[in-house]
Order: sequence, then C-alpha cells, then structure tokens
Amino acid sequence: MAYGQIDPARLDGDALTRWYLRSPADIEQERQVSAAQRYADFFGDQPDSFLKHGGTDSDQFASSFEDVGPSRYSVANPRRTLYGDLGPARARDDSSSDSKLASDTTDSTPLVEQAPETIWNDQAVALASRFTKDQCIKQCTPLLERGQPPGSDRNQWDFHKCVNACMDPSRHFGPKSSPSVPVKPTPNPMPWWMWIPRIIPEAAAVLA
Amino acid sequence: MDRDVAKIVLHATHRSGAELANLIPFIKAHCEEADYERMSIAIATVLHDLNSTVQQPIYREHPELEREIDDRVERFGRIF
Repeated sequence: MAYGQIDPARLDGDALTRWYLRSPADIEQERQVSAAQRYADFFGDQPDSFLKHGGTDSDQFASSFEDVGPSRYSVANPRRTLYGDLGPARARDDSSSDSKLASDTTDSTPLVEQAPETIWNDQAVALASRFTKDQCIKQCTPLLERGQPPGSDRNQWDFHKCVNACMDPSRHFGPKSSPSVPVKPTPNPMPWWMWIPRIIPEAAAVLA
Repeated sequence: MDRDVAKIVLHATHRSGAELANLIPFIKAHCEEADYERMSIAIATVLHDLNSTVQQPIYREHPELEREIDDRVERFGRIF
C-alpha cells in the first residue's frame, strides 16, 4: 500500500497475527510516519505543523493548513498558493481538475488582498476533502475489476459502499443499515481502510 | 421528491453506472497498464460523483429504497 502502510489482506499466518497484536503505540507511530510522509510528498516541506495536529483525518489535515497557509505567503511572490509555487501556466494546465483554484492563481490580485483566512480555510477544507476522496476511490476501484455474471450490478454496488464507508467510517453501510441512528465514535477509531474487508468480505480477496 | 420519480432517477443512474463499471474489466483486458490506471480512476471518480450527488440525496430522502436495492443485490446481484 502507499506510504509504507501494511495491507492486512496481504498477510497470513504469523505475520497476520503479529499485525493484529500491534500495540497502540506502534499503530500511532506508524500512522504519524505515514501522515508525515504524505505531507512531505505534497508540500516538500517539514511536517511540523501537521504532526502538531497529529492526524490523518480530513479535518485534522485541513486544520494543519491554518498554520502553514498564511506563513507561506510572500509579498515578493504573490502567486504562492496552497499548492506552493503555482504559477499561472501551471494553474492553466490544471484548470480541468479544479477551475476554482486555477482562477484564484490566474487572478492578478494577490491572495492576501482577498481575505486570506477565508480563502485558506475554504481551500484547505476542499483540498483535504479531495485528498480523502481520491484515496478512497483509488482504494476501492479494484472492486470494479472483479469478474461477474452478465447483468450483475454487484461490483458497482459494492464500489459505492466501499467508497462511502471509506469516506465516512462512522457510518455502517451493511444490509438493513439505518443511517438515521447516530453511531457513537470510539476513542481510538480503526483506520478507514481496515473497515473495507469487514463491510465487504469479497474485497479482502480482491485487495490481496 | 416523489417516490416513483426517485425510483426512475435511480434506475437510470444505476444503469448508466453499470455501463461505466463494465468498462473497467474491458479496459483492463485491452489497454496498456498506464492507460488502464488513468482511465479506471477517472471512471471510478465519475461513478462516485454520480452516487454522491444524485443517488445519495435520494437515499437520504427515501432510505427504504436503499434497503430494497441492498436486498436485491444480496439476493439476485442486480440493482433493478
């Protein structure tokens, strides 16, 4: 899996037993290293502020920008944006994937004159949400590769359940689920990707 | 939204989704790995957007429709 995470679906025997018996400290350390690596890969920067928030959840990921964002703005380089040194050319190249951000970068007005806190927070939340969505879609796409009888919709249905469970692990998407019943959050929630084989047993074989 | 209208919308969007979903194994069988990676993620993203922007709001309004479909997929492997 990406960023050195171990996919339990690929383990068996003693290795799987050791994986399940990891201590909370080991899990937390692994999670922080993974989060720091993602941060560094994206920003090419030290993940101090991200580690300070200590999380990989989208809200925590978004909150990390509150520290990083305004401090990265440079009067000498007003086009420095959430993406780093995005210039107009690169912004135009990326226009198909995010026209709002692209228009922000091609605008001649520096971001700091456009209520920077609002812009940073909105963009950070949007970016964190897109990051989570992209990761979840990538994780669940193998479900669509499964062989199925002609006319079967199982792959499509399981893919939707997988992505929705991935993006909102607190919601149970099993049969006869009742979305209106609030789910009490656990103090140490299981990482989202560990829910997939539990919710969709077939996914374990596909993801292996 | 009227329940019957909701069912018609769900039927149409799931049929469209099935067409897209069935492309994934086809592309995997006939395209190079790089093309497959790019197109499968793009198709999966469209599928998810269809679900999150059209189907999920309907399921929130008519949760019994989601349960009915879930039952049907469990029993017959088909949404409709």
